[in-house]
Amino acid sequence: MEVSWVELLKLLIGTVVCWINFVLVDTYFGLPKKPGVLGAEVIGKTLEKLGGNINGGYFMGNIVCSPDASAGTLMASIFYYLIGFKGGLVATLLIFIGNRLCNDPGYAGTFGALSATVIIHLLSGFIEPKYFIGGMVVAIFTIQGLYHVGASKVLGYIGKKLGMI
Amino acid sequence: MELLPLVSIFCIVMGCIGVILNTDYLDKIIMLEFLTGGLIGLIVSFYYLDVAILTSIMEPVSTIILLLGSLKYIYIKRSKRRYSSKLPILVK
Amino acid sequence: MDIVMLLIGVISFVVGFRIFLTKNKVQRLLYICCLNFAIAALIALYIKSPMGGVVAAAYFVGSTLSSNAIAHTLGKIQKLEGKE
Repeated sequence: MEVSWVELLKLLIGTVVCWINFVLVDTYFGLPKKPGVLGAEVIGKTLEKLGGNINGGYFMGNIVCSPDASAGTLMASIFYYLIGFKGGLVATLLIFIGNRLCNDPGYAGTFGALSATVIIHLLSGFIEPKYFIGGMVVAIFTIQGLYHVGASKVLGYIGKKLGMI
Repeated sequence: MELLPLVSIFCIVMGCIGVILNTDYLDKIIMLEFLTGGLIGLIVSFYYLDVAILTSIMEPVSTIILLLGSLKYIYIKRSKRRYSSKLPILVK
Repeated sequence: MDIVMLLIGVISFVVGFRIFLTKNKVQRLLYICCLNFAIAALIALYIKSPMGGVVAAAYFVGSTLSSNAIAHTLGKIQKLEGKE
């Protein structure tokens, strides 16, 4: 199996676009400011005890406990890959229903799915939607799977820089 | 070989070993969640899509029932009162 | 086999081993969230039809609901133990 550099470059661009999209939308809708449910508060306090930042911990807890803009980006890229531009709107409706199931206001997920659909539609000339699915998984791996304390510090720094805490 | 059955079988085997080895019951429930993800992936990889949808809708209900039972167990174990002394004893 | 599926498979193997090896319950929940993302993406890439998308969405919402319940119970238990 040979690896072509064009595919790796497309995957890298998809990762960067997805990361910037969901972190900015989630930070703008106030995820790091307060925990929405009880589980997010537990995760934030435990990460603070391990040596991280509490606002970044609230951010990661909110991602775990309800489908926010990260889930919106993943669902929008999956449905764009399968159906087309109409699929993004279907994904937005599904994310809204899922947010209501998890006892959340649900504006972050809806807006994140809409913005991801528009961005993928604008970039679909160069990069196929398949690379956005892979990029979203790599982006969530860098936050939730690699090193939790450092990720919470980075997210807290971004939230403080944007003035949302 | 395709990749989805491989990942699913890995998740199921590791989840089984984890359920056996962990002794705390909340750890057991987390490992059961890990197993269920692999199970749904294995169902999907043989193209039984309706069974997979029904399983993934029904799975949180069973988890919530298990968690309610464990929470009730904690309440009973933490409370200081002894229920047996308050109850009338019929057979001595 | 293209590079996207291979990368997602490698990520899910790494995260599975880390779920098995860590002892902290909260970090296990975070790793399980990452694994749910990877399996939903793999389902959508394996079945290339709109029904696969519906399966992926149902699986994702169900597993998120389940993680929410586990984290809520963890908070209840910690609050109960902190009171005494």
